[in-house]
Amino acid sequence: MGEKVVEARGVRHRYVPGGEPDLDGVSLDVAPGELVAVVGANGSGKTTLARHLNALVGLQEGELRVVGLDASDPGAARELRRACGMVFQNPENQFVSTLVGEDVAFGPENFGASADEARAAVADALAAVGLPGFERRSVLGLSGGQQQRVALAGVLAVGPRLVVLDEATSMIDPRGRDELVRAVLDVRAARGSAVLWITHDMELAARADRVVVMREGSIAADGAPADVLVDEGLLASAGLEPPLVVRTWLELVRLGVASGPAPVTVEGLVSALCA
Amino acid sequence: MTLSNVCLAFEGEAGERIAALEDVSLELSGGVCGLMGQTGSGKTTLLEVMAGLLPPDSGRVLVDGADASRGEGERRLASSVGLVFQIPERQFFEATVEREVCCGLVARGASPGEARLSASEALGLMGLSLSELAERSPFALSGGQRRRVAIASVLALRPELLLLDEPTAGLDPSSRAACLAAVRAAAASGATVVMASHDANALAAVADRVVVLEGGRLTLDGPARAVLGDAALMRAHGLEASCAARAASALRRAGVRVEGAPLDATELARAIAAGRGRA
Repeated sequence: MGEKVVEARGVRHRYVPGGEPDLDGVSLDVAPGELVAVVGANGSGKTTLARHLNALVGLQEGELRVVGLDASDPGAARELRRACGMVFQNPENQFVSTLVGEDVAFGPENFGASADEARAAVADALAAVGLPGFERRSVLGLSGGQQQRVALAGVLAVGPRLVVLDEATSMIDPRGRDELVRAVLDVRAARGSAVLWITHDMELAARADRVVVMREGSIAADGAPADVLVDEGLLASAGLEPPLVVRTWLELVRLGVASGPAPVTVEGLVSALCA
Repeated sequence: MTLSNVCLAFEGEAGERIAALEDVSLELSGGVCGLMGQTGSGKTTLLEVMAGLLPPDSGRVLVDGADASRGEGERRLASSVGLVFQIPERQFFEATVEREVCCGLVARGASPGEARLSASEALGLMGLSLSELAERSPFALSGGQRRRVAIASVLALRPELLLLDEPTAGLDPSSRAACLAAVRAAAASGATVVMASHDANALAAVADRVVVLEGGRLTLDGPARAVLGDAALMRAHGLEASCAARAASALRRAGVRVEGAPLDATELARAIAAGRGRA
């Protein structure tokens, strides 16, 4: 394995000096190419953690390295932002230009790319998210899913090794969500970028390599979906509930129709019931 | 409320006519009506017509039989409708939660004591406490709390017609559950609720009836179970069915017997058990 994309040790953060910590001793590793879902109630620290990863929030306490860069070094912030791109909840809040091509070019141009290099990076990034040739389109005329893919392209155009999506599907319709999920999975397969996906969507979390559960600023669980998403008590303590498939399986067990470990995806449920 | 043959068009950038609502007829009386449709299908426009914010180009909107665009009908609509916009927390303007939730009540002539009581009840419905939040700035709350305060400020007015535009989008599970419980409570107290949402799971939990808009036209109108529980029907209308309906559909394709049209995990488990003779 190469170096870790994220290495966090005891990261603690307070927005209000002397107040309760908003992030309370978080330790987390993310390996290259890994898809990690981060789930938790509003206010559990998910976004604060994410914002540490590309230096939107300064490190106060603990150790944090992102692609080997030390987040406590103010001089590393620029490279950190290049290495870790973020897609936010509301697509309309993250555009800097109304033209798709100009918006996606903003990142590469700011990192010193020539006009030709930026153009090539934009074309590559738009192709990677399934929007080839959209350079001259207005972002305002796009669907929510297309807008989020443009935002993702803007992130990809600077070649990040980690993509962080903060509730990026919660404001768009199911079709848009599926488009974005497909684009993220394609990008991960093609470019090997690690993905940290903050979400309330437990069905989406079930498709990750790992699920991190946050509770009151701390990590309450970190493991495979098959282990974490079947633990009703743990999830309830974090203000969450298991995916529908797990809840269905647990009810089937109570009804005496099923036994054994709960599947976490519909495909898993089908296999378990057809076995 | 009755809508008869409502049509509404906007003018495009090049002066062209873009139809937003075409010949929409709908009768609402009690219960929770889910309003579904893809982005751009006209859901928000329809809610704004129902709220009296957008006059239709043609067709009529009647409230208790009176034309909602003038006279007694207009007054009746204004005093009975409550619209919760998409991302309603963007409309906060008061410095404290108490003043934010009370401001509509005070504008309607409630005394400070009455306003505080109604505000407290409405926040309680949304799982929040006025005594804890009264002096907090609404802008300093968490995302889930902000949304719930915004919805409470409309619920406090006890609207007879409650219109909600994507109220659960972006909420965490407990805020979402509180929001859905408040929707049910409003309907149980006699309000007519129209809830526009992409979230078939949320509508499965609260809706009695579901109508679907496609390109400004009403293309489907039926009991919630018949619509939300039928994954193939939903797909045919470009929509995503509830998780339970999609799982039931996948199981049937694989040869597993699933009885009925389950809408949640408990119903799905029972439908599978029934299919195995273990109801």
